[in-house]
Amino acid sequence: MDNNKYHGRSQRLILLAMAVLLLGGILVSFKLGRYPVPMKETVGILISRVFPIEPFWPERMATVLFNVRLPRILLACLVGCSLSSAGAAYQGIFQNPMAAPDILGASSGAAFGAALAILSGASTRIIMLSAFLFSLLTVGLVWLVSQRTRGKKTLGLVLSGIMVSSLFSAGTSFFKLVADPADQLPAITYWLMGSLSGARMSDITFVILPMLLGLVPLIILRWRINILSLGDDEARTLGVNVRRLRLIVIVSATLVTSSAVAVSGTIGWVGLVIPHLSRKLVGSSFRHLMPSSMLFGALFLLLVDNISRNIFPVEIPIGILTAFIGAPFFLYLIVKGDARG
Amino acid sequence: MMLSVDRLSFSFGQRPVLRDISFSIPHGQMVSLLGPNGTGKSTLFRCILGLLTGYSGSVLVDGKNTARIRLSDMARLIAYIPQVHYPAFNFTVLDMVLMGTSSRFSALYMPGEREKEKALLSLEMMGIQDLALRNYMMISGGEQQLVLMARALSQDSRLLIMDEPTASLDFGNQTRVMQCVRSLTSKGYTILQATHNPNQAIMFSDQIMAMSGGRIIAQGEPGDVMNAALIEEIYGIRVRVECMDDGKTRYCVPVFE
Repeated sequence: MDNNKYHGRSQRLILLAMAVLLLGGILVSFKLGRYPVPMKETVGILISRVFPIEPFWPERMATVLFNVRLPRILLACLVGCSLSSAGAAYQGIFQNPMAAPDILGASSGAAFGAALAILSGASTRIIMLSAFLFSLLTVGLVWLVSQRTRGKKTLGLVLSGIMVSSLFSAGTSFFKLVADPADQLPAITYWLMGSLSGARMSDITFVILPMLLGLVPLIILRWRINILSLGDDEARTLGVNVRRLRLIVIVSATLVTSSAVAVSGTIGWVGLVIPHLSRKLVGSSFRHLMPSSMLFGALFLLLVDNISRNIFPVEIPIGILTAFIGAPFFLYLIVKGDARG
Repeated sequence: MMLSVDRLSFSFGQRPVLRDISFSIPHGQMVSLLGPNGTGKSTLFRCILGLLTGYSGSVLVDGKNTARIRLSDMARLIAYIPQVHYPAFNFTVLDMVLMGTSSRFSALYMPGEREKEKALLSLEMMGIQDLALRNYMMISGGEQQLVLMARALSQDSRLLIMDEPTASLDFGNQTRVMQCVRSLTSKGYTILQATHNPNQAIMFSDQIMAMSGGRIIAQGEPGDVMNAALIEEIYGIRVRVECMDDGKTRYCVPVFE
């Protein structure tokens, strides 16, 4: 077997290109913003963190770079990576290319938790924590309900996901009704739009652990997600412990989604659109699809966030922008009739 | 014996589906199972494959009781070849076949060089190695069936169970696929297939089993068991069984009054 075509070399090249683009994108993003930081200074400041070099830049420049731009850039990448890998994972286990990270209610649970915390006047940190915990709680509830359904397990999951989601959404609407229209209501509304503004380093330390706890199993188990996507019976005759694997994938994808939603609010469409585009680039096998979704998702959200904070005089919440890009793309998919990817 | 089923009974709730089924299949034979829709053929297969539990009686594959075997070990004893269907995602043919190798390595790994060679070899055995990099959804139904068979071969199990493998294929592909299946018996594979085509059963199998009402009502070599009375009992229509080529080939045709 000397033939290279069987070895997925083109896919690996695409993944490498994505990684290079992402690194370049990150570097360029440091430069972008109201306070200009030239490229030479950017590189200098970044290197100075590792090697002791004489500063040739004002102190303020380093502060902007580390306390404002770095957390924001990292968060955009982490959230994009999380949402699109969770989307890809859910699409695999539900055997449906139309599944999105909020299919099991992670987003509506987080929204409920955030609204509840805002209503009780909690701090930003508590709002985040509450969103994260309610998100996990919602998916846990969906899982428990689905275990009692008869028939096809994935259908039971999707149906109970829809029901439990709408229950929590109703709760969120109720909170909006009783919220103080002067400050609480706008805060809830703004949270629901999804935004990365005001990102701090402490946000990163808050989410990085649960995110990694989810992302690592998704990467390790990605080949088996292929087999899960064939359906329960076929996967079992191929020797896969379907119940256990599905549970691990759901727990991982949920951890990843919940932590992303907790820090950024509900940012839609990334988890649906990016896995689709990735499939076009590297094919359907999760061997390449999972890493590609992660890199591409990070790159995409970084790009959209740069638009969100730089193009317009007033910052537009990133959730709105992703929908502006996502909805036309979805329509395009319907018209093209190529939803299978 | 490659497969021995002993006094197997199974009920869905209060409704008995399989009643006291016993049969055995020697190594290297091809056996066709005939029976009307809803008589429990698929349920029987699901019991044998370990997808359904809670049956009484026993299933022995190569002398091992399947009730005590883990799923991943089962995959190396029995391979299941489903009817052609559309997966949710458009995998390449090679990826589809590689999935058959998954029981050979831990969930933490991915198929490597050895598995790829195995998969390509399986495709070659089915005569479709040229399709390796094509998309599974872009090839014909007959080719898809061959891919699913190649996947079963890459699983390294010697017993293949097929549920109406030619159900959705055209006349030419039905024959081509069945010839491929038949040729596997000479390579040491044992095959149990469900079919709705009595002529296919007569032409390609060493043994025929007939099921009706959740029981095995006949079992034996095609020449011994296939007669008009049996087919009428199974399907409730009048047929004639004819011979041609000096009795070497038999076939059955419906009789219309």
